[in-house]
Formats: sequence, structure tokens, C-alpha cells
Amino acid sequence: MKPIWHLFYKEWIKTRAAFFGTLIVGIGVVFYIFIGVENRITLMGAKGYTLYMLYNNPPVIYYGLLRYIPLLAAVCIGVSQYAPEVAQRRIRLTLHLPVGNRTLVAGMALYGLLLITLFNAIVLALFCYKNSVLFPAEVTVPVRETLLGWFLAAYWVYNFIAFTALEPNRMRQLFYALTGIVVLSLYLYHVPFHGAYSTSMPVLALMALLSCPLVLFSGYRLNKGER
Amino acid sequence: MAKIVRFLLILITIFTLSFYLPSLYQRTVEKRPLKTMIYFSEVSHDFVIARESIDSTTQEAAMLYYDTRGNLLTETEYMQLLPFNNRRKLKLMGLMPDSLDGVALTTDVLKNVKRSMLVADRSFSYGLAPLFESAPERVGVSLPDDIFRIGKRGIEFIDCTTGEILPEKSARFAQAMQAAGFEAPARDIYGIPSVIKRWDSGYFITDRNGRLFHLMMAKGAPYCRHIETGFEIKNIKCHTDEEIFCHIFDTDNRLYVLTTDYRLLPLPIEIPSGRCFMTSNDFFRTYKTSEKDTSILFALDPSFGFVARHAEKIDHYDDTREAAWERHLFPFATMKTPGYAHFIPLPNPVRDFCIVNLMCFLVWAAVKLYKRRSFKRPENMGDAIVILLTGIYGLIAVWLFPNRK
Repeated sequence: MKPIWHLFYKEWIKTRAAFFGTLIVGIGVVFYIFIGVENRITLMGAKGYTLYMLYNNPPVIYYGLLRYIPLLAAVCIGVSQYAPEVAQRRIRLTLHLPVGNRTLVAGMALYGLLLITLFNAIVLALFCYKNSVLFPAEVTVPVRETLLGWFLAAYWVYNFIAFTALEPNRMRQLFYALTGIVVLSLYLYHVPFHGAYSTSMPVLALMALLSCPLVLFSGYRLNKGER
Repeated sequence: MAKIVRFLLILITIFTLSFYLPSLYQRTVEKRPLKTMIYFSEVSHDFVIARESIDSTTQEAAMLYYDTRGNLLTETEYMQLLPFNNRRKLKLMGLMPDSLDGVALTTDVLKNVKRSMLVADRSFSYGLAPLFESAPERVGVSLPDDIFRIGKRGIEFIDCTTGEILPEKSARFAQAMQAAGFEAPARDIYGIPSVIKRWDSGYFITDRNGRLFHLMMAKGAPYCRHIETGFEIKNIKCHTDEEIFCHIFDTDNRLYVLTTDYRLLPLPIEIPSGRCFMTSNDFFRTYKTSEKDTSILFALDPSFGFVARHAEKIDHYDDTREAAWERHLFPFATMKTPGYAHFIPLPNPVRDFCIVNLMCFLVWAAVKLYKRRSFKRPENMGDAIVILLTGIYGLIAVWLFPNRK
């Protein structure tokens, strides 16, 4: 078996509890949202709720609870993956494994990103399915586009957790963490109507993509023993 | 690899700084602008200007009122000149005139004041709307059980409860629209999708070719009519009004009005900014717009004939010394666009920054010289280009992430 699979298994042991925990919360939130929607449809009538959801000022953002769920998943996975090793200095042992350091750090980050992608895919697919059962495409498509930004936030947060955790210098850690939090506000936008910020998706996606290799910089500095 | 990652870090830092630094600067230095407002008096048929001034002794702001010749008016004179704006106060003071130009100022006349914001840019539309009954047996507007969309297959009514298309109603309306010359799909649907209105006037819909149609449902039957425009439509603002259906913007931000007898009238006003505020009463209609540092008010008569125009210079942040400094300091800013067009990074190109960019570069070069570093190394040349292009952002980013061997 290739060493990368051993590395993935090591990471899986650390993160599985966080992954399943947040996945249960994510699925629970999706069901909770649609129980609420169906309840409102029962109370207000379908036509009343449709008008209320589309044209109220501001319109009802019935999926608002989902905003912080990808963030929660990224924080739980990122912290469970990096915090124990960094806090107990075991990361240096990991760096002495018979794998290139860059491959090792990139492998850890890749594992985390794949796990987050899996989480996002499950929660988003479940939400989109339930949404398409209740509403026409004119609603579901803009809603999905708005949700994408919140789900992209998970990648940004995870990358910055990894980037900050591996950084050996405390001041730099603080600076990275602050930058990550400040830019995060661009992802967790307030939605004034369904479909808001859909045009910003390419830029948000590009930023999330650009943040992926950042962890290599911290890994490189850690390996060199920078202070 | 470390060099590539460093470059990515610099890019992210520049983006972050360009988003937060200019807004932080503006929030720190910006002062509240003094208000200047223009009104058109139904009494004198002339403009009245309300200007906020700072009292030099007490440093307190107070509103001062002038006519167009610059004569100072008392607050009472100002209120008497604008009876529609100050209806309640004038009545309490016993100064409300009984009639104006021979027209009795009854409660109905005084309350018939309409105000609306007109914006040329199209805001987000779902392409889904409820088609109300425009000729109901009972007064008012009631919500139908379905909503409609106009896709490639023509108009489709969707039952809100089941989510299924109503074939009979859809076919009936699609046939009527085709007979009027409508070619699906709709480019845009404009209307007031709300039951909080006095009556329903239907929807104004542009078809695939951009031609304008009026769609209504009268006693359950479709009513569709083509309206010849002769220009390309940019946006439509609908009203619930006895005299007009809507205001229409063309692609050059010229404004037209469509009356309820289907006359399309070009308005004798210019709105380059594409935003204006309309006020109307039984005597006059006014359209207020603003350019960079000027507020302009157009007064029209009830039949949209030109009456007068007045412009006043307004206090604006862009004219201040702080704004000039901002243009010098920051080569660009990334911002969220206000209102309903949400793009995140819109570069806001401002000029006058070349000197500061050059100064940043010289500071960086001086430090490099002091430390006896070579300029010929590719990473240093890259840093120099970044600083020359992005000025203060680049300098901060390059110093935060220094080159290491």
C-alpha cells in the first residue's frame, strides 16, 4: 500500500468523530429547515408562503441556518486534524516519517479538503433535493448559487486553520488567523434576496483555490526551524 | 514552491488590503455632508432651496431656506410655499390655504401625493410572479393559487400547492400572447407582485426580441397587448396610478412614461446617473437626480410638459481634501457594489496614485540598498513590479512576506 494511504488512514482516525458529528448536525439542520418550511406552508397556504418567500421585503431566507454549517465542519475537521499534533509537538515526529515533507504536508491538507468536499456534497445534495421537491427551478437555482459561497467558506477556513496551525512563529500565527477571519466575512454574506452574490462565485472560488497551497509555506518554515 | 506560495500570499494580502484599507480610511476621515435640498413650490411656481449651515459661533447645524434669487425665507414662509410637504404643520398652525390656482385643497387632493424611486439598472428578478385578477368583483387584489413563468414553452402557470403546471390555463394565456405577437421566452417581467395595492394593472413583459407587451387577467380571461416603443428597454418601474402605468428607461438612461391610455411620452429631463426620485401631486411632477457634486430638480406639469429646472451644488465626500488624499494613497479599491447588484470585487479605478506608488518603490529600493541586496534577483524584480503596480498594498504585502533564502 502506498504511504499516502497510510497517511490518510492516520488522518481519518483523528478526524472521523468530528466528520460524523458535523455531518449529523448538517443533515439535521437540512431536515429542520424543511420541517419549518412545510409548517409555514401548512399555516399560511402554499400561495401565501410562495409570495412571502419571493417578494417580501426582505424575502424570507428560509435556509439561513445553513450559513454556518460548512464553517462548523471546516473548523471541527481542521482543529481535530492539526491541533493535537501541533499542541503536543507531535508534528515534528510526523515530519520524520519516510515521506518527503512537502508530500506529507500536502497529503494532510489534501485529505482535509477531500473530507470537506464529501461533507459539502452530502449536505448540499440533500438540501437541493428537498428544495427541488418543494419549489420550481426559478427558486432553487438562485438559492443554490447563494449557498455555494457559504460552502466555499469551508475551504478557506480549513486552509487557514492548517496554515496557522503549522506556522512556528506566534506573531505570524496571529496575523494569519486575523487575515483568515477578516476575509471570511466576504464568504458569510448576508442575503438580501435569493441568488445574491452568485456573480461573485468565481472570485470566491478562486480565493479558496489560491489559499490551498498556503499550508506548504507554513510546513516549509516549520521544517526549516524558522522562529 | 515556497516562492510560488509567497506570491499567492502577497496576492491574497493585496486583495484583503484593497478591500479593507480604503473603507477604513474613509470611515476614519469622512465627515457628515451638509444637506442641500431643492423643492418646487406649487404656490410660487418657483424653486425653494433648503440648505444646512453651520453656525460659526455655536458650531451647530441649522436649516436655512432660500428662494432662487437667494432671498432668505423664514421657516413659516418656507412651509407655506410647500403646502403638500408641510400639510400637517400648516393645518395645526391654521395657515393651510383653502385653494390653490382655483382648485380647492380637499383632503383627497392633499393626500394624492406619490413618491417613487426610479432606477435604470435592473434589479434581480426571479421570473416568477402571480397574475392577479385585474377586474375583480370585489374591490381589492386577491392572491391567485398559481404563479406564472414565461420560458421557451411560453407562459406556464404553476400550482403553488402541488407544484404542477396547469395545462388549460397555460394554453389559454399562451394562445392570447401569441396572437398579440409575443415570442417566448420573456426577457423580463415587470410589475408589482404584491396584494398591498389598490388595484392591479397586470405585468409589462419584454419578449425574446425585447418588444414590450402588457399582460393582464380580466375576469379570468387573458388580455395581452403589444406596445410599440421604438427603443430598447433597460428597466421599467410600475405604479398603481390612475394616469400612468409605468416609467420606462431606455439603454441611454432616457426616461419615458406610459400612460393608462397607452401613450408613450418621452420626459424632457436628463438623468445620466440613471437614478432619480419622483414626486407628484395634482399640480406638478418633480424628478430629482444628482450628478457627482450637483443635485438637479426638474419640474413638469401634470401632462409631463417641461416647467423648470434648477441645479444646486451639494456637499459631497469626493470633493473634500480627504477624498483627494484617498485618490493619492490607494491605486485601486475592491468593494461590494451597493444596492441590488452584488458583485464582490469591483475594481474602483482612481487616478493620482502614481506618485505614492513611486514613493513606495523608492522606500523599498532604499531598504534593499541599505541591506546590500541585489535587484537582479528574479524575486526582487517581481517585488518591484508588484509595488509599482499596487503601491501601498504591495509594499505592505512584500514586507509581511519577505524573501528568504
